[in-house]
Amino acid sequence: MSEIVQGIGEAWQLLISGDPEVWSIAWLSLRVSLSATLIALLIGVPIGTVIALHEHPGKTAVVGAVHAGMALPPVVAGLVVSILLWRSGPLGQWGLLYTPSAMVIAQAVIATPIVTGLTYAAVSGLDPRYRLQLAALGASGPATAWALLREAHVALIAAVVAGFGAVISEVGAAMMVGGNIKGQTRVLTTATVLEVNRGHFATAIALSTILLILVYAVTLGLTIVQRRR
Amino acid sequence: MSDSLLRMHQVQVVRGRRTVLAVTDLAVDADERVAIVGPNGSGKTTLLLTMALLLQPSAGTVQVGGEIATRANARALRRRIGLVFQDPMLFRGSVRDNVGMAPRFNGIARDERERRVTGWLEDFGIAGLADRRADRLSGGGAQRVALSRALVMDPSLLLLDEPFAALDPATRASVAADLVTWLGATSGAAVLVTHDLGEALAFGGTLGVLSGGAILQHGPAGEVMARPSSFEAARLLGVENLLPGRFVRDDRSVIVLDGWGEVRVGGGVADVGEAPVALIRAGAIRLLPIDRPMPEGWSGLEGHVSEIGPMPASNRVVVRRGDRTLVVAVPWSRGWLPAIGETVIAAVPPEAVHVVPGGSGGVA
Amino acid sequence: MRGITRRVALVVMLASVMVPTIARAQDATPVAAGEVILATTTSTADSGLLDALAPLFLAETGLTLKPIAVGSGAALEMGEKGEADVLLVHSPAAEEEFMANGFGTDRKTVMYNDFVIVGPEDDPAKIADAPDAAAAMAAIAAAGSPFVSRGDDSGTHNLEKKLWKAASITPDGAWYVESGSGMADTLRIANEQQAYTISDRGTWLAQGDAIDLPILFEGGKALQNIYHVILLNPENGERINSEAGAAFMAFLLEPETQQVIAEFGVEEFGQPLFTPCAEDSCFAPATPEATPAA
Repeated sequence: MSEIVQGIGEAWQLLISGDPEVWSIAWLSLRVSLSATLIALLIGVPIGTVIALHEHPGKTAVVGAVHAGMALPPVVAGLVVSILLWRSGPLGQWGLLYTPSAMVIAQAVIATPIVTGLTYAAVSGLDPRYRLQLAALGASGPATAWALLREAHVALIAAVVAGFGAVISEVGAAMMVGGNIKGQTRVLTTATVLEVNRGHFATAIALSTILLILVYAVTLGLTIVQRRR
Repeated sequence: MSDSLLRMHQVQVVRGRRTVLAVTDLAVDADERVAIVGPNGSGKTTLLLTMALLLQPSAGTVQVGGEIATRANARALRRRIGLVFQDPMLFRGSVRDNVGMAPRFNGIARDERERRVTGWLEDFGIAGLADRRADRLSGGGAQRVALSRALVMDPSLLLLDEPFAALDPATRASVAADLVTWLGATSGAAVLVTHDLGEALAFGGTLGVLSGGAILQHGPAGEVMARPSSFEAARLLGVENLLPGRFVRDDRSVIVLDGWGEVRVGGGVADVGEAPVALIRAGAIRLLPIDRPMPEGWSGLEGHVSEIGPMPASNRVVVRRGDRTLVVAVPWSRGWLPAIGETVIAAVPPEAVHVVPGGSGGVA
Repeated sequence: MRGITRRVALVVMLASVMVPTIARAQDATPVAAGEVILATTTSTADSGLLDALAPLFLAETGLTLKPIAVGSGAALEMGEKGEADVLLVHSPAAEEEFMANGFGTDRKTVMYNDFVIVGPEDDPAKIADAPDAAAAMAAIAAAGSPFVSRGDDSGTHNLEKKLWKAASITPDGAWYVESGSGMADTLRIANEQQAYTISDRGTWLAQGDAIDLPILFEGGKALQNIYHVILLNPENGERINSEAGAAFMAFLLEPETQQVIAEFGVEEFGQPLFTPCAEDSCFAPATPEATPAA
């Protein structure tokens, strides 16, 4: 118990003192997770919308695959991305392994099915007459998709929150493809694991506290966007 | 035929193994106003969506302006069609954004768009709401926005799916009046589907009766109301008295109503089979004291009054004889109102008696 | 319209966060120069030693050190596949096999620390009196006292297996638990179950008050934990940066670095975690049987 109290105190100290290492770790966490979430959005929202709006015999199988992807264990994503990025792997010449880019890629792999699945659910959940009304108004395919996404924005922001939440709190893939290298790929979660291994429980709690504050700040921002209009 | 604005020919819509719509032939002329009345589940919305080219029929053709609709030209043909659902289906944004949707989707320049939107908002008396959020409107306001949105492209065909059903009676009357005023001022055609006969009649023009996915009857509203073509159509058209009987003369001028006795038939006889049914509207019958002489040529049905209740602008009197009943509407302003239990004569003019085949009469 | 503007602003903001991330990574792309990937063990990484050495290495050579902490087994595997440039490991038997197979071109002793056998305060298997480590292990097995093994083919696990072999025991039964976790986790599991386990001294020290498992047996050559740096054969993989690897090997072995290693941990734990040992003579017969630590 005392570690928790001590850790929260330490978190405030680290935040107030502006400890450069903690700040750089927090900033990297935010940058990597937001980048991954943005990529997941750019890929997942169109795919989820297309799946929701097109009827075809294989639809159930496709939706099932997306839902399975939502449950993809982060370490599996990390492992697959590692193998692809290995020097001996197909993408080895890019030299991305153990860089923030590799972490962004792995986290995007984790977040994309989540965003896709929740976008699908959001668009499918709309009254089908909205779509008919748009067609009656002469909307093209993209205009229809855009208007429906606007209509589903509350559920879509929830998709963003879920995607961001999944990646910023994720440790397995970040550790595997990032390597937890100090000053380069150490993020709040991997740093927390390291501090736990070092027996620095209070520091670990402090990092966790900062992570929670960060998550709260970002999700609060998204919630404000969600509740607007 | 070819100058019809919209024509459906041999159209079938099949869902799973069920045929939900089967329309042999239905045409809407360029300035025609058509109201289709049908109960819930009769295929009203399916019919309307097929007309709107939003639902590809399983068989048959839909023509708009003489052009057969295909997947390729549907979007272009739809520009001539406006659609309003029961719920306003407004999108996020202001009233102005919503009404401006179709012009925007059709690539109309901003100035022209604004001009049209403002014009329509004024016509429907909602110019003051232009910058309000669409999701903050009252039911009537929202439906006026939906109407403006459907009309902003000057469609030659306006399709309405029970657009007033969700409104309270006062609002409904006011929005409907605005719509009818607009329809009167334009050369466009309009189709209204509804389960409410009164709403269909207020729409005027042509009346269709839809049941089980088929159009049972279709023609000028007065004609259809006066002479339902079948038992089922009569039921849907609100005929109060559907009385089974049998003909006793080859010329079918007199029918013996089960339990009541003979009645002269002057309203026409649809091609009837084994079980003819006489249709008599409650408002056409006059109640007379037992000792009063009947007008020349009318038939008299004797019974006693078992029930008196109010109807709009009249009293609803139920005359009973044995286990048979007859509903008579006695206007508030005139006519003799008997007491309950009193024996009366229900006098029926021959032209009010119309005979149709019995049974369900619908399409299987 | 205002909504769209704000949304565009949001996307731009996100993009401005993201693009530098990608761009920076692209800047760091040159695989041949600029960085050296070190595959090493969790114990060295968890101790913080590599975090302390990395800035010194960068200052001296201009090379960025990328330590990847995995078990010794995985580190050797990475070396074999050419996924690293240089190794720092402590699994002598496996290392010798690695060298014999020609995967490494050079192997040098860097430092050592020692393993300790820790367990419940009351020492139910009475290992404190054992003559050597193998005998201590045999006593645990004989008493059937709970023992938590790493079970992950790490250097520590290999050492444990060597001790069982020396004691002619095949550990099996309810008392023998495999954690499948790193050293720190394994220590905590042993603490919860009040079981025996083998740990490197550094990780054990780092746990401090968090665990209640005193050292019950220490010392002896069998418990020496020797770290070697291994330079990889460039033939293992075309992207191996041999020059950078050699630079790191040279850096580890130079006297200044050795001095840093000797002092590392004194501040926090009051004693060093590693004993530098650039000269192979560290382990000449003259070395005393018991290490002087603790």
